[in-house]
Amino acid sequence: MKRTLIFLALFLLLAFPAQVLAQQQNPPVDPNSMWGEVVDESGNIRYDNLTDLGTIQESADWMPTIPGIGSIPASYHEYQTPSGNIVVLPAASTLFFMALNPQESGLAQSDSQLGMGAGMALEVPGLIKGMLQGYIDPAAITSLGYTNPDDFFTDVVNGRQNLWSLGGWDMTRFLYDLARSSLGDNSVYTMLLLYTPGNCANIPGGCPQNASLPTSPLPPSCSTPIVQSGAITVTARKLAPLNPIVVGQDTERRGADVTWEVRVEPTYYTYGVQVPVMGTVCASWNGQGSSNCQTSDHKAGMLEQIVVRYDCVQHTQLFPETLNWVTASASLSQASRDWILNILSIHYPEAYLHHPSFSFPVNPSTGSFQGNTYVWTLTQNHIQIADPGYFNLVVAGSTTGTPVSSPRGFSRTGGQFGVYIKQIAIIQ
Amino acid sequence: MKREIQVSRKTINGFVLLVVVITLIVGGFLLLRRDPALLSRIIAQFEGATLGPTQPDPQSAPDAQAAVAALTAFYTLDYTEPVDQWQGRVCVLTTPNGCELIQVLFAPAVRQVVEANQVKTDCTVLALRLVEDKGDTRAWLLEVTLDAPWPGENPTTQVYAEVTRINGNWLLNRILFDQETARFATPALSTVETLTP
Repeated sequence: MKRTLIFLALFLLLAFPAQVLAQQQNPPVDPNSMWGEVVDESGNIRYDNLTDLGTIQESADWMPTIPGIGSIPASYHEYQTPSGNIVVLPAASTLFFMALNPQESGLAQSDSQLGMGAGMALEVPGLIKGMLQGYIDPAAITSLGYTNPDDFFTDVVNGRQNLWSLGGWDMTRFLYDLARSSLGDNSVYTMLLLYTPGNCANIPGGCPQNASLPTSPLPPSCSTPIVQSGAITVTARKLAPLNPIVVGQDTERRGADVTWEVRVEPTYYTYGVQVPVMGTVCASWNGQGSSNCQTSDHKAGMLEQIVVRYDCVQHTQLFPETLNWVTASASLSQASRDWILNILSIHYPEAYLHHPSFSFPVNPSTGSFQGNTYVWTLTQNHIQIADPGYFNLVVAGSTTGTPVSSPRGFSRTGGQFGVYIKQIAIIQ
Repeated sequence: MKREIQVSRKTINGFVLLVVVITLIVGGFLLLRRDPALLSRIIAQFEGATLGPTQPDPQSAPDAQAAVAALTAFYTLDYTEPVDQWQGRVCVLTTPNGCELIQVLFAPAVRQVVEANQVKTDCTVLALRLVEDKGDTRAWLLEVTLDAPWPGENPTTQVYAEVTRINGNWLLNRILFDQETARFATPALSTVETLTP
């Protein structure tokens, strides 16, 4: 009975996607974004606007292996949008194993991801946790020394824990329900992955052979083309509290909430197109019809429209660009380090740097498009900081590149925030 | 002149014991020098014997035989046989959930291999040991030997299979994936690192 109820709940969650949540935004989908041609404003997939590329099955070494046989095939349904983007819908079972192996499976390399159904997590550990809800015994995770189950799932994704080795969960029942959600025509798709034509090689199973990709994205130009790469802007700031204090004095372990944002503007490609300019001339009369002009050598002629010259007219094409990888970090400024080691150490002998740098490797695909600008944000809450001083908030990463420009690496400081220490002074 | 030295029985016993202990230490030292992994194996065997489930006779235990029968059906492959027929042969020996898994997760992989290599083989399956006992659900380690393995495939494969008792009958629940069988590996000694803050 309990099992039936859990499956029913899972089925309802997966089978009736009330709305599509793009990068957990509200309103759900920006009609001007690249998802606008995939789903409508009500969250329904616009199948009539998409070209069906069919179901793809491929062997993948990140899928589970049957002894003596090989890996079970990964299965996806693929569509192409009018603008040439490829949308990949992994079957439920395939999505689960993609989430367990985000790098190898190509999940992390998609340009954008779209969750189907309310509460569908896009972050990989959250996705695994959500899919295992009701199957995994929290006590089994606790027995491994995790007080927060989220940390366990993060470790699974980072390869520090093996989900398969975890006892205390009903793998058979989970796989069975997953398999039922993946059955042929009844397949339930809970996540859409979008790949731009330039990123086609990273599609799981390779670039679809029947996709019509732009063979020559660059039209012939009559002038030297100008490529103006879009600006990469990094901003970062502390959200709360007003004055964070070091962890040793922070009795409630409030820590600091920090947010980073990267904006990648589109790349502009300006090129010239030869446009014919027509003019009227008096050509030699060929004897048919009647002559209506006199040629320069005073003979009977006929007026005709011909190309008299070509003008070079400038056009600008726009190429949106996303992120290939990204890492956010907070690092104690050099001045603050010197202050701790040289000044603070006078009052607190042997003061040292406890944990002056924090790094947060994250999924670059969790960004979204605002118009043609790719916007990626990360918020980390309750960061426990042991060193007082000013922390530089930095984002490093690389863009995917466009058909007219190469991927660009970047490392930018987007802001700074202070962490305070309460000192007691005797007033004389 | 004869002089009698009196040695007590206690002294003799102590001397003999000392010789035996020294012999054992020297012998043990020489053995460990020759085979450094010996100690690990002895401890692993000891732990395995302590922690592992009680071993029924694989040749007669009904759960083991259910796993043998189901794996025999699973690994008896013929590229000329319709996949539905293969599924049907296997499914009569599996739980309903197990049958669904066979159809959705396993069959596509098997079909791919069988058709690509034009496989036509019988097999012999041998139950080796019980690795997990959860009452009505058990996991067995079995050895599958293919009569006609396809190119690149080892004739003998070790397979972990989970069986479940339904209405008194043991049936195959599923074949475990390679990735999840690490937890059944014989425990071995490993270096423990201590992290200090």
